[in-house]
Amino acid sequence: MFNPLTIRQDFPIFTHNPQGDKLVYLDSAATSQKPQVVLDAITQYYQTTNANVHRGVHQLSDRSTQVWDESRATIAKFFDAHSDELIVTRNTTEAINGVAYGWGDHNLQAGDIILTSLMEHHSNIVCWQELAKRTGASVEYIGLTKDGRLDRTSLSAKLSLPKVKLLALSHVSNTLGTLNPIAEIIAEAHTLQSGIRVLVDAAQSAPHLPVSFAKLDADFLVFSGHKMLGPMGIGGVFVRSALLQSNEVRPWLFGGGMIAAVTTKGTTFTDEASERFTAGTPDVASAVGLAAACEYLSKLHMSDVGQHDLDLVLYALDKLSAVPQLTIIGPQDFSETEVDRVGSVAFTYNGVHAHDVAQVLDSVGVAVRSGHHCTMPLHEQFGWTASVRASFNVYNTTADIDALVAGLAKVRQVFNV
Amino acid sequence: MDDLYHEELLEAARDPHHKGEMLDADVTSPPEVNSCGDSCRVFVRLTADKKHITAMKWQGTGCVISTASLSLLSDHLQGEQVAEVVTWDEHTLLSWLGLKTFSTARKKCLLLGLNTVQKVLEKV
Ligand SMILES: Cc1ncc(COP(=O)(O)O)c(C=O)c1O
Repeated sequence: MFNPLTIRQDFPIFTHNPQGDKLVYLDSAATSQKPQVVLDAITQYYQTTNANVHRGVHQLSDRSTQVWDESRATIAKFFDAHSDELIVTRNTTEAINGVAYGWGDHNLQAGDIILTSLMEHHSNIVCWQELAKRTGASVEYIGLTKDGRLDRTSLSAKLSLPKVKLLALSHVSNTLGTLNPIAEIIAEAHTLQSGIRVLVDAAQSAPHLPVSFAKLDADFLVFSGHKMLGPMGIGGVFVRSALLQSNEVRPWLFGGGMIAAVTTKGTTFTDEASERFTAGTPDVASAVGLAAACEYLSKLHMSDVGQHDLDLVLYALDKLSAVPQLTIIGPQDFSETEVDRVGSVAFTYNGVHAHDVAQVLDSVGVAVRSGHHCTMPLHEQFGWTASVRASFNVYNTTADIDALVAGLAKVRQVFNV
Repeated sequence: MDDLYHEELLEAARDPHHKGEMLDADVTSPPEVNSCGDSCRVFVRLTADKKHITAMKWQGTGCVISTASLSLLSDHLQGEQVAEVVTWDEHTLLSWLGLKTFSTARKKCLLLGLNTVQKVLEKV
């Protein structure tokens, strides 16, 4: 039985932070809290297994290499992918940069188009702007509807432009909460533009939904471990194996560990995909921690995790829409069959700046995010200077949302609006 | 926090002083934008020898902290020496607000106005 109150007890932050059990943590979209099993796995790795990987024949190095491989396999399985398809990075941002350098620089040329959308996180915009500068390609942005969904007419029109080589799109928006019908969109992309590559930013979906790289038919899928109960400093990109085998995607970091042979004249890289893209000593402990997080989530059952998130999103929409000073951001009207909204509810408070709202909420122990959440083009599009975002994870309860609503009454009192 | 949003600060933000354009300013800043989206523009009038500030006005949108900070700044700048103003820092602003500590995250809001003023004064 999925019970957030019991789950909460697995997260030591709720006993050890200065506010103790009173902490209402509604900022999981920025980074999630970590369960004790993740912290233990990391400590245990350093206590019992620490040695460099692929370097020594001694027992400890061998054991460490095994643990690295097992952790990679666990992470890959969580995403229904093969571990050969996983390139480990520090986070989503580094993963997208990697695709830009390792794929974009070798496959794009002047006149090509990179297609992204106005709801993207800066990491899924800035990397492409820079790639465009390097290659002479250009970046086009898919528009949005008034209610914060992807404008499908704009999507189809942009996908029909000549030479669209890449579609880079988030699965779930970190500000609007919009869940994009990604499988349908990928199918449309392949129909309208043969040879197009598709990158899915799963940073905000992986923590809440079952994500299957095998079923999605994407070429790249990027994620951050720290948003899905894992440690900071680890994330990755899944790359369709055909692109690795054909060398369409090439290493973008070079050095030890990724080579077959080095001479003073030049170097050949190893055929082993996972090693070819692991230059230098990897963060084994964080991989171990993330694997523990994946196991923890799998034990909770991702379908139940998703249902819990849905319950919280709907509860928050209901309670927050009853506060007259608020304008809620993102989809609020749903079809009978599907709620295309995941993970968060953001809003603006009429007459009070988002930072001031967040500061007052903090004074009553409610931690929310305020600002532009790294989506400035989206904020500009809708004319918001900044917004407040409450985001959820497995340890949140409806009581947390009630505390948020109570905190908003204090905002009204302090600012007299 | 309850200390942070004390009545004087809220009052300063509710009814900010010297807000508006100054057409006969000696120096005018370009619009300065914080990474959080807050923005301001300052206008400063100087004595003939450019050593003293006689008046300051400002335009902008932002949170209570950046607004109150700009308002207080506009009061304190009148009659000040330029050489003095360029040495002001967050502690100066905090002393006006009667605060000892300040959240790291909000320092940018606090300093938006002062930084903008100091930038234009560097050029006189
Ligand atoms: C949709 C989305 N993409 C990318 C990122 C960047 O993640 P990271 O900072 O872990 O690289 C985030 C994080 O906020 C996000 O929400």
